[in-house]
Amino acid sequence: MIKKNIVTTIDLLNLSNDELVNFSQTNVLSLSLEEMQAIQKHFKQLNRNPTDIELETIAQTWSEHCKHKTLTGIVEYTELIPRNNSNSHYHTTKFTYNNLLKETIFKAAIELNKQWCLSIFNDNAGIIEFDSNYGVAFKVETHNHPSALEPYGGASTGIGGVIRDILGVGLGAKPLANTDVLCFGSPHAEALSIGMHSPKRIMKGVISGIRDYGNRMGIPTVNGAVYFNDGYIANPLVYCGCMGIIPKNKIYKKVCPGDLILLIGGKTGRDGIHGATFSSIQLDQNTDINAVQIGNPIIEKKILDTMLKARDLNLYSSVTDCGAGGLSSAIGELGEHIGAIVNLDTIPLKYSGLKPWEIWISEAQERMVLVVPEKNKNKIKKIFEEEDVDAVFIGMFKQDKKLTLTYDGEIIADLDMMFLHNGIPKPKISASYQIKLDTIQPSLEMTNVEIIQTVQLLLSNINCCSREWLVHQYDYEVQGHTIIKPLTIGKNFKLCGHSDATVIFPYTIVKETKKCIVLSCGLSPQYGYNDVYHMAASSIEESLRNAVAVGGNINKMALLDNFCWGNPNNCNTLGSLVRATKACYDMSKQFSVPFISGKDSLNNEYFINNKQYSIPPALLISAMGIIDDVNNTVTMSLKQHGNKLFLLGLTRNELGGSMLFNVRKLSGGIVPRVYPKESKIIMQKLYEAMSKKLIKSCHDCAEGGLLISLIEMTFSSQHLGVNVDIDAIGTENNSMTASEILFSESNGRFIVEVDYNNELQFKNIFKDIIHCYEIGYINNKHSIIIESKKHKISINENVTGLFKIWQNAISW
Amino acid sequence: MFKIEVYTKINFRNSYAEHILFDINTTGLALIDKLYSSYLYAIDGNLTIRQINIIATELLIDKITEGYYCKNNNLTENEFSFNKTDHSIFCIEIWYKNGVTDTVAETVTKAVKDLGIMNKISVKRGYKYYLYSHRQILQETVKIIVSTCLCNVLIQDYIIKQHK
Repeated sequence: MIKKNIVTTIDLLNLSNDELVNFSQTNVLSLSLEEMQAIQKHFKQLNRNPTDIELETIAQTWSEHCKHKTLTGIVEYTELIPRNNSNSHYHTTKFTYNNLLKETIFKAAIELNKQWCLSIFNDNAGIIEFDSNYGVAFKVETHNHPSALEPYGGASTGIGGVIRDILGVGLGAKPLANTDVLCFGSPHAEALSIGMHSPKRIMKGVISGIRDYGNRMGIPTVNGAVYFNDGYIANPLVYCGCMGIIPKNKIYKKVCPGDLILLIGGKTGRDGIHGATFSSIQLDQNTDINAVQIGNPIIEKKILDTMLKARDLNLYSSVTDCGAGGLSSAIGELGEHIGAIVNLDTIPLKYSGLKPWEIWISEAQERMVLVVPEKNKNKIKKIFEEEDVDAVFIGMFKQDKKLTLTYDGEIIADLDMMFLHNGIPKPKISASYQIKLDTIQPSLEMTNVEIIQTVQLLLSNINCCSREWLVHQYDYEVQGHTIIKPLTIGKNFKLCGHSDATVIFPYTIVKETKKCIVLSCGLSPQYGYNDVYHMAASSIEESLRNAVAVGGNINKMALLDNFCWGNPNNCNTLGSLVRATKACYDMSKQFSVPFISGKDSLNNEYFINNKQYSIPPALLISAMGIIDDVNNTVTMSLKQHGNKLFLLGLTRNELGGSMLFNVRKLSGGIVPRVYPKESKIIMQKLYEAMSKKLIKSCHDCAEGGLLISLIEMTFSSQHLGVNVDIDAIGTENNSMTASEILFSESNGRFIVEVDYNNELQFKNIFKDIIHCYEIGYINNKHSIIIESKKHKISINENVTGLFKIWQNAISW
Repeated sequence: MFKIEVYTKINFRNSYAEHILFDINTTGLALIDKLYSSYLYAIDGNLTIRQINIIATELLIDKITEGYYCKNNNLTENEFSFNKTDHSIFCIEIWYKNGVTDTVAETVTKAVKDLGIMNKISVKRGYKYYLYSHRQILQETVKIIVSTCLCNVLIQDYIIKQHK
């Protein structure tokens, strides 16, 4: 029997449909009419009204953030495909997904059935095998809305949250590296309205937040990307990732009736109340202060150290972090199959005056929930006390399959676990996507001077220029495992280029190992304007390509997906999401690389002066792989004068969405496609060549095309340059102009440096690969020399001048 | 309540203030000629002046590069340094709103105990900026500068004081 004098009973049973919707909106529950009706029906069966805390618990558990209603929902998808090579005639295909995630991304992972995938989509992070004793876990989260409101606090709690995901996977992994991928509006733009921050302020705040949290935790921030587009002007995207290492015998969790619930870490305040449901609504000027979270990395560092100590002494049997939904989600999930009772009086508070429901759903940071067998009660408490970490037993797991909350000696919530976790109605949502044809642009001719001017424009463009200012703020060396760093620095330390990927060599944890971990990412929103399928495919291929470029093995690599989209209730927005998931399935299967974890962030929309804006869809793909021998990793810096340069992969006339079109304000063109069969065999052969130490340097061709990639290689090299013959580059057809060849952004291409002594061996490995072209050699003039008899091109440009243009575009 | 203001000594570079000035002058409001910044700590509790001095010197400042003022009242005009060429001098204090997590203040509270001062205290941490300009600047303009560059009004309150 619920006592009601310390909680408010909501008169839900008598509300009309309009009143149900209104109640949900007014109280930031973010529940639909169908969901409110399901709750009403449930409590009618119980013959009582819910309390405020019961309703809040259901809202958190059923939130998009926690339940991923869209990706796991029923979607009736219609695709309009152009007919007769025309954008005005279509034929239609229809398909119904009963669970979009399970029938695309997850399905691919199940079908691939990789034995080295130790945990996929069922814990706080995905885990793959590192060696016979260890696994490595990787998770990427988003913290977009909080970062729009308070960039420093939002981003720092984003990184703090994802670190806790790694601490909360299995029985806790030790974090080895952080990643960050960021999307902002142009830093030169003003704030759109009063109450919103300018993109530059958001950017500086976000970077400071990630820097301070990661650096103070002693975790290196090693990999990432920054993309600018005014579509993100008031809704930045802040992807925060963390990778950690875990003993294989600590991967599996267990919760038994009678086990105690131990809350460790920070105190509870009103921070982030309604964070889980807040992420399901669009931003406007009246956002609540309580949605803001501020992090404290020192507390989290103490949690990390003490928790791993308790883990190694086998003092707890399960753990999870307090993320979105706070204790409500954490304990609700842990006790889903058995039941739990929690006494809210025992929870340490930052200040008095919190209502019970506020304590229960608060998203105050730096808290973890541990499941402790009764026999270990005193031992584990002592470990936390010794390091001044707050640790309080707040309840117990039971067998009654109920969630019971007490406060001041009274029961204030009594919820059926089955209803809480499975009572959410599964609505049917319609989705539609219209595929557009793209066509080759009119022939694009440039003179020598125009090519150089274009290069200078590209290098100074905010989406292509140096991120050195940003990267140097992060400590990417701490722990001493970072073998390939985010910047590949020339010998004189005056020059540097951005490495394709990062390699972590955990030799202090796994003694005597030669194995290492490669982390990379791919993000291509610029290709989404034409077709999100190609955007998603390009992001996947780019992440794999980046990893392979430093020595990654395509045969032991896993992916993470992070969708940032607009409002899924919009049929076309959801349609584009469905089409992107189709690309994920196709690419995952064809590259034979499974997805192991993911997260979606929807409703990335905002209103200003009653006008609605939606972000450009963005799919971040993060790749993690295991390299067998750290000695076989490769950097992008040129090594030796006289060595040969080869281009692997075919250059196609694919300039749609390219950097060239962006700076030249051109439209149309074909967006780069992915050819998995072609790419995969190149990646496999490249790994073989690297394993035989035949490759001296390697860099992928990405934004800006081949010429920009060649220049980037020279940026990280001392006194060396390249001589390249355009006529030797393999192209799709003979009609491509020199500028089209140099700036095309075709996927699947690598530039590799081969020692002249190893040329025969290299050619032998690639003898069956059609698209392997010897395009030039390395000079000792520190110049870019590009020539073509066919196209009458002759360029000779010193690298130092180009480097200054590239370096100074963003340097605050 | 004691208010401790921690400032960068005159011969040392205050790169934080330099960055803030750069940000202000690149937002289309290029009106400020000089900017100084300092950190504020409001410490409430039954403390003596001697204890406050210990807290300031042993905990809050870097003795080489920083100094501190300590007052037990609010803003006073003698805080401003005058320059005959400055037409506008503003002093801005920024504090977190009640209920917003103030992690530095939490750390200071713990660290004061580590210093052996066991009195029950409450700490707030704030920021202070001094803006100088050769031009006449309206208080309304300063409010825009504050809200766009210095203060997130969602979580912080500010007070502007102008020297006349």
